[in-house]
Parts: sequence; structure tokens; C-alpha cells
Amino acid sequence: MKRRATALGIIASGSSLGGVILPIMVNKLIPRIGFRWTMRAVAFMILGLLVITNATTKSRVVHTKKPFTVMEFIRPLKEPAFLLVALASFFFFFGTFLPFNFLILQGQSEGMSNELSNYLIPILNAAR
Amino acid sequence: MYRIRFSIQSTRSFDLPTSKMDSNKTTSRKPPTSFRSEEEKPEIENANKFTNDGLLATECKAGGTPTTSQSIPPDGGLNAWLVVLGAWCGFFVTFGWMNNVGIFRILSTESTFQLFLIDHSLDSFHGNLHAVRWREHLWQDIRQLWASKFVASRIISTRLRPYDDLIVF
Repeated sequence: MKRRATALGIIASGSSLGGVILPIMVNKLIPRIGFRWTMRAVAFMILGLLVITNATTKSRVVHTKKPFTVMEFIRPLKEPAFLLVALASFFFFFGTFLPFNFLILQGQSEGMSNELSNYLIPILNAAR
Repeated sequence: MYRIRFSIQSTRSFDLPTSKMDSNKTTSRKPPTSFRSEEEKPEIENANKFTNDGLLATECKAGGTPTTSQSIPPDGGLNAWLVVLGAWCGFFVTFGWMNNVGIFRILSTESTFQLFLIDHSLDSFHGNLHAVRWREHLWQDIRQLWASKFVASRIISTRLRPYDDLIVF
């Protein structure tokens, strides 16, 4: 419990480091082994890492079968606080992932070199 | 936060203050003879089990389902750090890959990638072309910057548009 913040920080760094390593990896591998094998290489890496994840973590609560009702998904939205949270997170991700999509294109159209602009996404991820 | 910490510490020491409080309540209602307290002992143990099942105090309050005693989250030690490692790997592959989408966006505008994706299975997408035409106009100027040399693949790129969306989203 004492080091909960440290542990969560380490875990969150995984997403940033993945955002740094994966784009560079994909960029370097595609000219060498082609798109298909690049995707396969990344998939094998994901497989290896997820094996570790599955071996070390497990759900804290026991899963029980619950009856499926559509209203379960609609009813919380009638609550204003929940609706606002949902809307807020929608706009949060809307704003977060737009730069990731168009950052490189914008950089190149502004006259950035091809080599450097491919590193824009790793830079952005490292800064997060 | 305080309640959570409180309950987890107590689950570790297997001496739940909440259940103690409950037992105190039950005993205070009845006359505190030694015989009675002996009788209530199994009840207290049951109560202990119920709240000691790895549920956080907030979940107990919310009426969560009781879990087995094995599901107490590890607190410190090698097990806990292994969980951190596993969660790190999970975040690496999920959010790291999600942060990677911009690469696909630029790849789809590069002509080598377009040529790579020529595939006759995409012919079925031809019917949908008018639906994605607006996107063509949206990216026309940008793609002319980078793919104008190889825009023999004009047809190819129009074929590619739906495929591009399949990859990215």
C-alpha cells in the first residue's frame, strides 16, 4: 500500500514507452521485412508480453454470470453525473487522439523532413 | 481512500475491525456471559469470512459479491511487483499500440504502402466508393504532396480508403 503510487506510475509508463518503441519499431521494420511481417513481429511481441500479463495478474473479484439486459447500459445515462462523465471522457479521447492521427501529416505539410517527422509520435509519447 | 487502506490492512492481519464492531454490536445486544460468547464464536468467524474475502470496504458497502479468500490483492513483496510487471506489459501493448495510430495514417499516404496493399479481395469495396469519396477530397492536397509521383495508383488509393479505415479504427 505504501508504494501504490509508484506501482501505478510504473504501470502507466508502459503506455508511454510502448508509444515510443512501437512507432520506431514499425517504421524501421517496414522497409526491411515489409508490412505483413512487421505486423506479425509486433503481434508476436504482443503475444509474449500478454503471456507475462496473463501469468502474473488476475481479476480480484470472482466472475459470476449475470443476466444480460440492455437497460443496464442505458439506465446509468439517466443519471446526470454519469452522463457528464461519459461525455467528458468522450471529448477527452476525442481531443487526445486527434493529434496522434494527424501530427505527422501536418509536420510534413509544414515542411518537416520525412525522417524527423516520423519521430514526432515517439516524441509526443515520451513527453506524456 | 482511507477506508480502502484500512480494510486491506485488516485483511492482511486477519483481524477485521469492522467484523469486530459487528460482533461487538451483537454481543452488546445480548447479555455478555461467557457461555453466550462461546456460542457466537462460529457466527463471528462467518462474519469475518464474509468481510474478509478480499472485498474492499466500499464494495462491502455497495453489496458486492463475496469472493474467495484467494482474491486478496497482494500487498508488497514479489507477488505485488509481478502484478506491476504484468500490468505494465498489458499497458505497453494496449495503449502503446493505440498511441501508434499516427504511423498508420502516414503509411497509408505513402505510395509503397499503397502498392503493398493491392489486393483483389478489395474489389468488393468498389461499391462503397461513393461513400468514402469525401475523404478523398479531404486528403487530396496532402496526398498530392507525398504520393503524387506514384499516382498511377489513383485507382489503388481509392480502393485503399476503406481498408485504411479498417486498419486504423
